[in-house]
Amino acid sequence: MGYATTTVRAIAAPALSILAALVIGGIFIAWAGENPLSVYRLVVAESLFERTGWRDTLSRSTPLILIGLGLAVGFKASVWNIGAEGQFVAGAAAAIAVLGTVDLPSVIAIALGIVLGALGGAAWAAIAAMLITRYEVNDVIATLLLAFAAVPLLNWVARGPLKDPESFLPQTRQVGSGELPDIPWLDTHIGIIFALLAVAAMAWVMRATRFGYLVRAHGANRNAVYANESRRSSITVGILLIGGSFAGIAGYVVLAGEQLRVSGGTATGFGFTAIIVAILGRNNPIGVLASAVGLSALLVGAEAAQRQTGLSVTLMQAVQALIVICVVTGNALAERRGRTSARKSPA
Amino acid sequence: MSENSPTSRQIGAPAIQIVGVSRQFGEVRALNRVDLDIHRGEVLAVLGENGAGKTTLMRILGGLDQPTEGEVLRDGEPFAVSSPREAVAHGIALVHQHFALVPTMTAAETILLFRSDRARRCDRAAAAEQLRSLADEIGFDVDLERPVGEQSVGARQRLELLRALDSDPDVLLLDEPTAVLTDEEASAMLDVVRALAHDQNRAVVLITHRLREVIAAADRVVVLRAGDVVSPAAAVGERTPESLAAEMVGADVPAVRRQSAERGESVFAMNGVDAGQLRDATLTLHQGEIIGVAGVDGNGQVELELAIAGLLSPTAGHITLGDTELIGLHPRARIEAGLAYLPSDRFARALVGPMRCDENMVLGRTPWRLKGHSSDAADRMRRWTVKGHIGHTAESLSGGNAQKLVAAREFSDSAQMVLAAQPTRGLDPGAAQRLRQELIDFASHGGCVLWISADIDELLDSVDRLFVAFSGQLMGPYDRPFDRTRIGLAMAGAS
Repeated sequence: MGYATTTVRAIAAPALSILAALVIGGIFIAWAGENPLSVYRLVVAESLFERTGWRDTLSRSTPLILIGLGLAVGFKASVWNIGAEGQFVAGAAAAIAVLGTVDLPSVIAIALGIVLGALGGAAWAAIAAMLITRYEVNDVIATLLLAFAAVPLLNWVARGPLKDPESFLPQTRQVGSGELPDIPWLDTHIGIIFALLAVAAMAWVMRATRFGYLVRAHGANRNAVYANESRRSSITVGILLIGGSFAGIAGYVVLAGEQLRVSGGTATGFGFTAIIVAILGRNNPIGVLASAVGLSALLVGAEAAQRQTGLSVTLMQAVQALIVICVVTGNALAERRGRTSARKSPA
Repeated sequence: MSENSPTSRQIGAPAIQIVGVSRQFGEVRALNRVDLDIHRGEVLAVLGENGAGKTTLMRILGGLDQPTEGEVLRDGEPFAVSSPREAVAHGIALVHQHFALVPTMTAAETILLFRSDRARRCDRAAAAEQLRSLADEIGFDVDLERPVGEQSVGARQRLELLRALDSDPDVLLLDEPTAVLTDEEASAMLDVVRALAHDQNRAVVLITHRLREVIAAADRVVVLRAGDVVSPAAAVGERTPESLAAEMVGADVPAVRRQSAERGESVFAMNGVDAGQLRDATLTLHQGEIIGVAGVDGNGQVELELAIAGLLSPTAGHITLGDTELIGLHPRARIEAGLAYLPSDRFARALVGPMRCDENMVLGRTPWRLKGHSSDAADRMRRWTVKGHIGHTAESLSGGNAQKLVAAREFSDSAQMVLAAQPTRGLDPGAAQRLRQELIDFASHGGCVLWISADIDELLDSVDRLFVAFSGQLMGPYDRPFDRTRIGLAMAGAS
């Protein structure tokens, strides 16, 4: 099997899958009494060509890119961290716990916020890592259940220990000088720049470093890694801590760029949507970037379409889900074709 | 059975006639105009190196593949099947090299799975009874009531054969049926195979790497090399393992004989190691020394291998290489301490199948920053004559080339010791011989080798001292000159 056909397959399969999803989704839109083509045109126009549209697309995709990068590393290694939501809120809570009480120069506060977010997310992931490596709890169960534990804890924190004493609402103080400034002319905060830097860094790490090698090898044959490269526990722990750090940084970025305070409403499901982002992006950093922006644009456009046509945004969420299912199926089919044609070479 | 000479049994039409059959895979010709007659009442051995086309030929007869040219005649009639089930309906059964049984089901249940739909619906107790009498008839010692997963490798191989016989085939295709068996189990299996041909008048085709078995069990032998028939099927008669090996690889393969070596100081020591069923394992390896561990599979060899490789934590004892205690060591530290490792399951422990050859070449040795390892990898692959490109995946390599890739990596470091577990399993004779020579050369250059193998012949030829693993204990050591009978008895547990 030549390199060229592999590449064609890698691009053609998802493209055809998305097309199929849009066709199926179009049937539902038509059923709801709208012209699918004009709805899609509206979605694209609103999300990508309107100033408010692409601004929202960028700010919404920022946490998805950050979390998705960390999850992609895990999924590539077959370590199933699906509890990024918990690591996300832990990062936000850790950042506000410190930034809400001190007054530092902005640059230092932002740097500190990133570090605190990473530490908070990693700490939450470390609990899962311990359960998985020491007590052999299934990784899916450990990470997911800890996510469900994190959200009520966040509510409690916002009502209790970190509550803003001057507010009647169950919310923390503001991030103060840790707030992220806007990019000039773009009126969106600089979080997207962090995200793009993270994409570039992870693309390099995965391709050119020992860590990336171990992640790929662990995903393909973990026993060979344990026999030659690394202990069983250290690689799993490392991967979970990296996923937790990225999710925690995303928590800080959403806090410091948009919400400014932590409340029960901080957990908005980015951690779960990022699972889809990583899968659609085929666990590849550049793919994560593309799928995060694509999914964000779809929802931003759908919200605009709801305002203008009355078409329910839930229908577009269904289209989003269809895209995921079609792309995953399409990739699986393409891989199977690849395997059968590879097997046709002499045994 | 000498009154039934092979020639007298060949009267009548052949059960299968292969006429000018070719099979092309892209650029590669796996079979090139092969002509072959398969007769009832005889065992026909098909011999050849890996990639010679033996398995392709079996797959075509078994309905798993189609020829690109030529035809196959079944009792004189043109015959083409496109599935194993159709082949069975034509009275042809294939016994695979890899087990196709379900581990959690009992032997009887799993054999019934392979029956055609109608036959499967019959009474289970009656079917089990049928199988039992079939097993008794051919003198097979099998336990049909125990789950397959709990049975030994040898028992599973017998069940595989029983499964194939369940359809009462006229033609039986056996792909390396003795590869996982010990000497004794293998000769019992071959007795059954001969009886199936001679007493029950079936046509039996036997693929084997063990040349001695061809001599011992086959009536006729055909030798394939790179898809061509090198020696047309002819009586085994006076042929020797050496002459067959020469036909197979196209040149004389010099038998590897270990010259007596000078022992240096001690390098590796195990003291009172308990791990799994392994009890009180104690041995010492010196510079330039090769120690073999023989034994029937499942007597503690795997535990011995895994404990030294650091993949199984011993509950007692010490393992040292040089001044380093190996127990509890990080895998990289073990490699740095000088332990080269050829695992018995190379695709599970030594290679990452979907990754490229050059990437596999740095497994266990990756620098922080990956770069520029390709040219070095290409060099080493050339030196070890690994057939394959550095950009191809490890899983695309044949068994022999995969093992060479592992060896090229492991031998390249400043290794003091090689732990070689079943190093030649699944390799064709040429590749196996080259690997044995490399292990011996490694010792000649001052290294030491712990060689675990189920192939007693290769150990007797190559090692300085020998232990026999039995029921978790290391019996011996036995020194040169080896007493084959005594060692055989130790393997059977009567020391």
